[in-house]
Amino acid sequence: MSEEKPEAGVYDRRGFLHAGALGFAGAMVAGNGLDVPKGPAEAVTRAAEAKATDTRGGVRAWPDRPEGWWRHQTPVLSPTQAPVQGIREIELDVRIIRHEIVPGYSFHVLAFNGQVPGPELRLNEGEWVKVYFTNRTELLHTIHWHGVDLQYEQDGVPYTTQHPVMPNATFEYTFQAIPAGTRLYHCHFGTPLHMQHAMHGALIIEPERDPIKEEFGYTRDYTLVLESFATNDSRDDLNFMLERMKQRLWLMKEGLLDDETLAVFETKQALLEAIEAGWDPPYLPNRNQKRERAAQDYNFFAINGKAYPLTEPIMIRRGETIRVRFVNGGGLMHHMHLHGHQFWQVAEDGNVLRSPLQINTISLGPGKTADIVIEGYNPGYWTFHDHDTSRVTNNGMYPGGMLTMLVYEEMDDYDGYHPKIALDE
Amino acid sequence: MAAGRLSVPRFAVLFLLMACSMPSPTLAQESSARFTVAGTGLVSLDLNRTTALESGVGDTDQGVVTNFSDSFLLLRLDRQLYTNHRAGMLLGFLFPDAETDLGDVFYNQINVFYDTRTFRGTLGRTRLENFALEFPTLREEDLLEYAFVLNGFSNADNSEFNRYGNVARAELFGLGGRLHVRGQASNWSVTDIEGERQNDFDVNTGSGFLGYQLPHSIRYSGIVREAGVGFQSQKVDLAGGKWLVGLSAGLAVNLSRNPLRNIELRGQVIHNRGVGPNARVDAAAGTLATPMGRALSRSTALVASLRFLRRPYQLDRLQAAATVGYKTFSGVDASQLTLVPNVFFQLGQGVDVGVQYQYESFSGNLAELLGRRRSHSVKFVLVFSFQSMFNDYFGDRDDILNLEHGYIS
Ligand SMILES: [Cu+2]
Repeated sequence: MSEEKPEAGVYDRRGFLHAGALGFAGAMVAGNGLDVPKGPAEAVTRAAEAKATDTRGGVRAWPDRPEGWWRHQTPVLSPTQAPVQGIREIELDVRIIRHEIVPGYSFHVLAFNGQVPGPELRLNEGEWVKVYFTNRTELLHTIHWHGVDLQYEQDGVPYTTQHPVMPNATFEYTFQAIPAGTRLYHCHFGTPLHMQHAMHGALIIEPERDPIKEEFGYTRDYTLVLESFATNDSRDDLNFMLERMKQRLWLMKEGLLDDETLAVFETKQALLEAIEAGWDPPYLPNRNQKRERAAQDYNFFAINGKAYPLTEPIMIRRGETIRVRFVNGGGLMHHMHLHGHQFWQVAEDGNVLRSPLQINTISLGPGKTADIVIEGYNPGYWTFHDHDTSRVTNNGMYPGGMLTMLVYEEMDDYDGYHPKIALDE
Repeated sequence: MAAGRLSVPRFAVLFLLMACSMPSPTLAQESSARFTVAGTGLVSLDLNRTTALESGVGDTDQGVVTNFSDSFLLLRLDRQLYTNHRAGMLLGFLFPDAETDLGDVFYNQINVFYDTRTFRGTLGRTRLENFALEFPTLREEDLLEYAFVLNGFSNADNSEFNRYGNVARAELFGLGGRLHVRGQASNWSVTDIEGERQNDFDVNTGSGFLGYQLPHSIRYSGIVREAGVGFQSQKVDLAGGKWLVGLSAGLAVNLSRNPLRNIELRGQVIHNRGVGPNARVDAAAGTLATPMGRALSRSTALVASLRFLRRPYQLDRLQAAATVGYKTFSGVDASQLTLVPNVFFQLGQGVDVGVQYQYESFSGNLAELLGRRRSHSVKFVLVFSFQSMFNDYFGDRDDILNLEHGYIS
């Protein structure tokens, strides 16, 4: 469908005229950012007009499909029903590493395979997968497969669907990759510390026939994992947890670890009896009145593990269509706004929307994913950032954090204004 | 929330003061210091009884006193440097024993320090670190004569001149925080024969220490918890000799590594070489009757303690300890012995109630010179202690993360 893009034609022509007038060399500067913008209304209208079949403005329909096609129908199978052969095997571990988020600032994180975020897992819809998860820390962990329909004991919720994975132990998760879409995986043990710092990663389940690909014909596919870190709290918490867990591991080894010390009970009745017998739950102020334990003091924000200026730009060409998958691995709400473009939101939580929606700011709460399609109709350097600009900071300094750029590859040859690296406004 | 509780006029005044005194944040970039405040309110009701040698000879004393000595307040400010090293300062004072002539407060910590992953330099007033180990008594001064290399320059009857001084100290750390080497040049407080402090701030003592220690965060993780040897050389420049050398060695072991019921045994020996040909009492400084005389005499002191700590759910709750100290002076018939059992119960975090009994006996010449043979004391105590850190933005050398997962400078 990219060949029949009327936008590209419009921009070619206008860009060429401007290039001539301003004396730029050649047509490759076509559609540069010096075009006089006509306002977003025009862009919406133009994009809407792009589809002759679509008259609703900002919303467009998928090609004809049977009623209810988006609904996931496959029954959920248990690991015992997995085929003997043809299972995809994946190895994941977790380690404590020092992670440099911006030049000169590092902090300790819990990292899947030593990476922030964890490695992107790409599976085919319906494929069976076995994940060997090894705990290489002295803390406890699990992996939760967020947005995947699986047998509940594969769901990775400690003390609810499984015992947490002990230090040096390996746990096997077996499930079928359904339904298709942009999803995530994360540790579900002590999530304010573990998931956010930084046990999270994208899990992309690809369908055999992708309506988004068929409709938009995108050529490049980007994943942006959004992250928020409270590095001073996480340092404090990690040190505290490690000290406590070293002692608990000794007690466990000696068979001396009791329910009250671990604060895990078989039943609600057992908990109430322990309290009756004088046990103080750890949430009481007499045991825990630590500053900011509940409310984290977020000071660094990142996309794919890096904060501006280390964030990777999203590359596009004039006339190209790209897909961008957002995965919110942190604990905050983010509002990603792209300058100079109206993009299509095509999926939320991994599931394809009934109709693509044309917007320029997309909000993602914690644990949310969203897929958008960007059409390259406006060459330039385009800021793409969280519009809660308190997150466009590094340790309180603007700009930084959750800030990247949509960059047209043609801009290399343009001799107008090129972005600098600014760190202190 | 705090503002809500203030009445309107007070809040307005406060706001005005802040507005007038604070530089505008848009004009001045500032890296605020990390701020730690710690303190202990330690008050005991002391029942003392000292037995005279025989009726009519020596002191017989009996009394009940309220004793808040060793209560302290300590501030630490530190920050990250352009090199990513850290530097900071300590400012602290304590309340000395009322029987000393130190006044109401004694500034025991006024120093500036410089910190890296493997090094710490300290300059200023602080602890002399003139021992190998610390022992579980209510106050350090309970074991002053047994557990410290004593100050040969001071004839004052206080513990502070034996515990604090002005130092220039360099320390090196290694082996995951377990190895500790210290070198120190210091000024130990100098008094005249009456115990009056003199204006003498020259460096008068050199010391060294080599130690092994499990960092606090992993204190139950091994059998050997602490071990160390050290020396203190005081340049007393007396007719009988130039240097007063004290040697110390100590070992602490976890008898049980159970973090819920820790049992720990520790022992230390201090050998004071004394000054003079016989390494005995210096004539000018008096005899064993005076603090200076005892500090200058050749002696050997042993201290051992057994401590049981009950920590249900990994929270300190009960401590029971027994400490014994024995000291003997060479060449004379003089020795002293003390037994200090105590028990503390934690009512809440940082709030302890406890009782300590101390028995002390003196024999031979020492008993005669001091005019007492035995003393007993019982102390009922309530302790409130706290530590709060604000603007915490870097980890400490001893953090598990820094020790085991790569240091972050
Ligand atoms: Cu985890």
